[in-house]
Amino acid sequence: MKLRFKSLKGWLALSGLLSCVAMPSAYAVQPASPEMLTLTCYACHGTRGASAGPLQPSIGGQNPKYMFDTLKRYQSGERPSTVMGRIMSGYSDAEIKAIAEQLSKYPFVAATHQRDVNPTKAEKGRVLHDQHCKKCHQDNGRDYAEGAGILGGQWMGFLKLVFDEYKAGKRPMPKEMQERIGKVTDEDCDNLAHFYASQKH
Amino acid sequence: MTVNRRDFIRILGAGAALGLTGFPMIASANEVLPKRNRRIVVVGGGFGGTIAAKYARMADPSIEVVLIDRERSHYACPFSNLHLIGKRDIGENEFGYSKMASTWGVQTVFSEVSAIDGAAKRVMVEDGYIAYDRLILSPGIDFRFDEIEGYDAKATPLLMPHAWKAGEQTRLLKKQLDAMENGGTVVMAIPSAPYRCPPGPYERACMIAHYLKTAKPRSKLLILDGNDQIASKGKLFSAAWEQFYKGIIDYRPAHKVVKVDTKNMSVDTGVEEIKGNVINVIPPQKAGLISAAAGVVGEDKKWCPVNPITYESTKVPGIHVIGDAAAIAPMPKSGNAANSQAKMCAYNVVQLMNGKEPMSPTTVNVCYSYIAPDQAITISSVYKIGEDGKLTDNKTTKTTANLDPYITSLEAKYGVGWMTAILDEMST
Repeated sequence: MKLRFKSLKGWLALSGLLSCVAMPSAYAVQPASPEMLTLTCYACHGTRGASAGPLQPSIGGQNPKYMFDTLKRYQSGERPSTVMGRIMSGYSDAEIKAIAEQLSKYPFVAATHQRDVNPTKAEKGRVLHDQHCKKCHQDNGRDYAEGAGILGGQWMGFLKLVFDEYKAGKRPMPKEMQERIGKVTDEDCDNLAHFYASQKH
Repeated sequence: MTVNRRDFIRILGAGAALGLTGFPMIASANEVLPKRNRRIVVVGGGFGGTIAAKYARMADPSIEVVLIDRERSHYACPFSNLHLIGKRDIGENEFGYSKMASTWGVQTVFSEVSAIDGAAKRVMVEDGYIAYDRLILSPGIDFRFDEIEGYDAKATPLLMPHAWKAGEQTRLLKKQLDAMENGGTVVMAIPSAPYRCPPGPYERACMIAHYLKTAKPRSKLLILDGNDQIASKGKLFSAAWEQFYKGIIDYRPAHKVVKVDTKNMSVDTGVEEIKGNVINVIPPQKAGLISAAAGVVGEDKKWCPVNPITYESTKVPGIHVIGDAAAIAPMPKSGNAANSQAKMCAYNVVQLMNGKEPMSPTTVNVCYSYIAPDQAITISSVYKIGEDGKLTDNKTTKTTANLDPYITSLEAKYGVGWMTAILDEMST
């Protein structure tokens, strides 16, 4: 993404400004900063990646490697999506890396104003989490171990969609997770969603 | 003749506009919020203006930002069509500006803007003028009423609502639909592109047709489109009409309404006069009126040409135009486009004010359109500056592939998420 206009005349011609009477000053242009590149994400994922929900995950404070891999999987279609794959087709690897790293610098903001968390289900979810998930999704899913995204504090709607995708086999996952997701029922997934959604940061 | 305060300001404003051509600025006008620091003024508190104000403060909090709008709250247009079927109340689309001040330190001024003097860098408000270093203008649209014979700017919308600026107009259109007899005819007139929200009229057609199908099944929806074909997501809308609304929608492309008659409740295409029980005329559009007073409207007398990197007007330096008012093809006039442009514009205005090179922007657009209460389709694009210096989508513009109900129901759910998020971004 290099945009350097060698001469003033060339730049003006490109901008169609040569014929203008009131001519704005000519600018040299530099590539977008990582901060500027992330701004468009916020229309759906919230300012600095703190999602207002109900279906979009918070993307601030995530593991940058996980974020890069996820965005690349959207781009290739390996991970199914509605608009994400199409949007990622407009970005280079270098830009995706810059976005992933920039987002990781912001705090993860938990969706604390969720009204639909059921404490009984969340408690059942906690037991399931301890049994199946905690090795990779550490600190009740609030921390990211290598390769895992933050689950604790995400929106319930998002968590349920993710479980649906995994259960339906629509989304690739590590072998270890494949084995575990095979052992849990749809009801278990629902309980797990309540557990992760109930996490505060 | 009595001159009230607002008229007096308008007269002053006319003089101020002359400032551009060297006419002396009204020296006696009062300076509102005397300018002591570097300052960006944003005019217009919709999808573009609120975001530009917020992100300018985020980019450099040492620069003052003043946001001016005539209203204390704004009704968002996206999802307003869902009000027509009772799926969402238009009241949920209203947002205010209190957090702009408390969270971001944006100073808000609620006033009519009567003129903008690009040479003196002053915005005329009701109580005087506000000075700026750079101005971001996000005025939205106004209508080209004069292109429809018999259309009265004040009276006609009360009888034939356009509902193309959300709020009372949306409520009025729903009331008229609710009051119509089963067996009635609804007539919709779509203006020639470009206009605000390219897929919007066709989404509205789906919502009205759904309402008729479920509540008044003997009724019909006649669509008179000023365009030669469906202006956006054409294949998908055609398929949706065929699948869901066959026998209800009568679509007539290349049928431009040139005349209205509110007494007869009819519209005229120049070829035939057509009567309707409910008539929704969406007039052709242009940049918000203040653009003309600021001198930033282009040769077409409709839209404002801008530099695609900084959004600076090619007509008046120091004024940046974003949102529906800007001529920035191939980007459509949409809320998401305005949001995206506002961020890029704010960051580059701050760059310029700090004596730095502007950055090459990447903007995104996503538009959700409902084809049934729980089914939606999208179009999305990513825009960059091409090697020729012009804005390009690099062939990223794509729609939902087809009407697979699993996908369209997922899109409908994400649509609610999009709306929740973009409203939240403007009000937190």
